[in-house]
Amino acid sequence: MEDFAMKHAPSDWNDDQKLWEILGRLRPASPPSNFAWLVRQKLVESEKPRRETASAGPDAISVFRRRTWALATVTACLFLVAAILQFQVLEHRPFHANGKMTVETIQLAQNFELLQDIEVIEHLDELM
Amino acid sequence: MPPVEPSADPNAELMLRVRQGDESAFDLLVEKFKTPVFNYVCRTIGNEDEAEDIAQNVFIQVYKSAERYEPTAKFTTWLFTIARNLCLNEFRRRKRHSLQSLDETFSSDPESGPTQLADPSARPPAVEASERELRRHILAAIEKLPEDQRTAVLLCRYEGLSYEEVARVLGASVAATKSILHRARQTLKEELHKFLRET
Repeated sequence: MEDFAMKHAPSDWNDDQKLWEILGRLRPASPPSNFAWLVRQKLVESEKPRRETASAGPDAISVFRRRTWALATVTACLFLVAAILQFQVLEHRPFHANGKMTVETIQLAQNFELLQDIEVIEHLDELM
Repeated sequence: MPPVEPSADPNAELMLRVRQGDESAFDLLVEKFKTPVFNYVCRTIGNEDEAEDIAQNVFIQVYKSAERYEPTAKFTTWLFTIARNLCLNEFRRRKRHSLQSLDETFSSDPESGPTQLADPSARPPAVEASERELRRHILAAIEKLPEDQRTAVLLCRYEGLSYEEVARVLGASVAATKSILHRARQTLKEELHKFLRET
């Protein structure tokens, strides 16, 4: 930047040439000699919180997102395991064989009741 | 407005280097513009300590805005627009917090105001006292101007910006800027009439 007083007045200042010159007598204020260093320091300071946040690990939102995803994954896996059990392992259980074993089960229960009845009858025999 | 060719404005070229991460280009810009920015802020705010802080923030803002910088105008226009905006923020902050008024922050004594560069030519005390008196009056006269007139005078007279550039900083048309400057000149002539007659 050129010296204050050396600047030429714009053409429409012709009538105010004296004013232009007088204003030029105001000498420029001088910034401190370490101004550039102070700017650099301030810049480092202003960048610091951003860097610290970045190095401090994930923020709450990203943790929440990760946890949600983890929970969703675990739930999906559980459903998958349940489905496999349902269609492969439990398929071979007796009461899923076209109802055949279900009838057998009922018979078994009836036999059990019958046995109990027989026991009662036996006891009746004894009493008699 | 068509973009300014960086080759036509070496400062815009430096700024483009800052955008690419060239720290030395930023240091060059600070070195080159620290005095004009400090002067403008100092004369606008009227308090040297606050001016120093704000002037530093101007360069911080320049650095942080480097990624978005497009040379659509001269670099100085962009720089002084940032400086003016930060000064206006300071005025708003003062208003909100009812701190010192602008009138109070301006010192009537130029020796206790912004640091003046040492005069290389030693002059007799009487001449020096008369110069001091003149500087005091000039500062007081500039202080009395409304903010837009003050900015226009400071940028036009002291920082060498053209009317078009001042208009861009003020966010006004060139015609409106000329009118602002005309009003400022009338006020300054009234305030400094004593010295205008003497010279």
